[in-house]
Amino acid sequence: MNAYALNEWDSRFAGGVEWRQKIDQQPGAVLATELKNNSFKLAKWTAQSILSGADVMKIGYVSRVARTNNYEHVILATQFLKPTELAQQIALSLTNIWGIVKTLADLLMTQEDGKFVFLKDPNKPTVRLYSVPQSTFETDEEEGGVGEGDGEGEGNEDA
Amino acid sequence: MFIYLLTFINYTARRAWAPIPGRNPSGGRGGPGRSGYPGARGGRGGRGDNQQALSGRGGRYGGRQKTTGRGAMRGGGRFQNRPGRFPDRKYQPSLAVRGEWEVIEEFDLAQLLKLQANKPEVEDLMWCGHLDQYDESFEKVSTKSARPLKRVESKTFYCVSATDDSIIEKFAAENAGNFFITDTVLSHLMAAPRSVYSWDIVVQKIDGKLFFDKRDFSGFDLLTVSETAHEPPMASEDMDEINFPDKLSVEATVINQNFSQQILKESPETRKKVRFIGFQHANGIVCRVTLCNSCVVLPRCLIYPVRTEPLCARARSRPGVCSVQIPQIYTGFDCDYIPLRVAWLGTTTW
Repeated sequence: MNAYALNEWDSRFAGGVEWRQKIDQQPGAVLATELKNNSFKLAKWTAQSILSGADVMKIGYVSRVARTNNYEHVILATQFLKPTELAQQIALSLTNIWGIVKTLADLLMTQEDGKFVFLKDPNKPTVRLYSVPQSTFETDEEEGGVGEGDGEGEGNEDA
Repeated sequence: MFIYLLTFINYTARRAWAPIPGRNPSGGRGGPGRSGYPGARGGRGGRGDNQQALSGRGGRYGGRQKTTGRGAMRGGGRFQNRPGRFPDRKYQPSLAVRGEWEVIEEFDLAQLLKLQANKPEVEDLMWCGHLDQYDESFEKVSTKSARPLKRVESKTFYCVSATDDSIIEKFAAENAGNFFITDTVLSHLMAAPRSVYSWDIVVQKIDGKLFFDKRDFSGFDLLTVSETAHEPPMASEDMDEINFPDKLSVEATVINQNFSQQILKESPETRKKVRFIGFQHANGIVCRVTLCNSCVVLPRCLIYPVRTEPLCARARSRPGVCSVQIPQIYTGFDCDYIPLRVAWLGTTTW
């Protein structure tokens, strides 16, 4: 069994449903909305649960105490889901997920030793595989997007 | 401008790893934080002022930059002309591409959905960590008897990447496989066709072995909130600051971690240790997934199976790809940390 928590932040936004009104009577409606709004997150959790061989997933429905309070939360309901059934529901096919992994692995296996980066394009449904110099993310972090410099500067400021 | 953007992304990402402060949301700068929360590699302490740090506009989840066609980012033309609350939005990349990087391959996410492979054979190589029992009283939670979510103050959550993991290192040295990855990264790739926001994964090929990693402090382990919604949250003046995507992400991650620990019974009598090896990061399962002769994946899966007695029998046949091998229980030692995910496998004979 794996455990994950979905959270309600403000049901007025992002096509949300009011959990407190729905969850006791119609937990399915809440789950359906979450499957739509958080399909990536739930697909990841499902894949993780299948990978670890968990027979059930415990989903907790956690909401804010008040809409304007993002610090205190309450658990409104919990639910058991079977990863295999959930996978079917969200069309996460086992042959496909391993197909993705195998394709990527096969592609990389044909390459020479080195360093590579998969990057999802921020605004297009595209993933690119880059070959990057070995030193990337190691020696020249100050200049890049990973930068140590910035964080440390901040640390000094805090001190 | 570009460099500024980079530093901002970096700043946001670094800040995202800072501990969540124990303070009222309306309060000022927080007190000292806890380390390693929500789990950068090896943990990183920091001041608890991430809420302020995350309040900036822009960052990975996009600010108010003008662009065209919000439909483009979700890979379909269906919503292209539909007016939304935030019709113009552009997300920022999680990582800046540099000039010397060479594109090897470009995948369309829809194309990824068409790939097929046979279900692999799976065997478990090692179970680590310890297992707590699930607290059945959570079955009765409802809106009328809602339970406050407790903050886990005493535990550190580790999200270790494959190359930093001592167990994976050991298996790599033994040539147990040629593809090393953690479940977070693997499931991310598996679910990738559904992703909207930008993400990146670093792969190293060393002596023909593949190591898949997330970057340090990249925010990879933060959960997204309403990422695939028609109108996902965004940093805008119409929204409360606490509903900015970066803040929601941290909030959701903390909720998820707290929830995962709160539903456990924390009594030593019900705790079972599974072959615990003296490294702090060694919790979970390593299994061998044989995709084909040339490709043997060794994912390290974390599991918090908090398994109840009646469910134990069913647990023997693992669904989907994994087949169960009952681990040896090791009760010889005590450990001073609580793994991110713990498992209870019942007291039936092993």
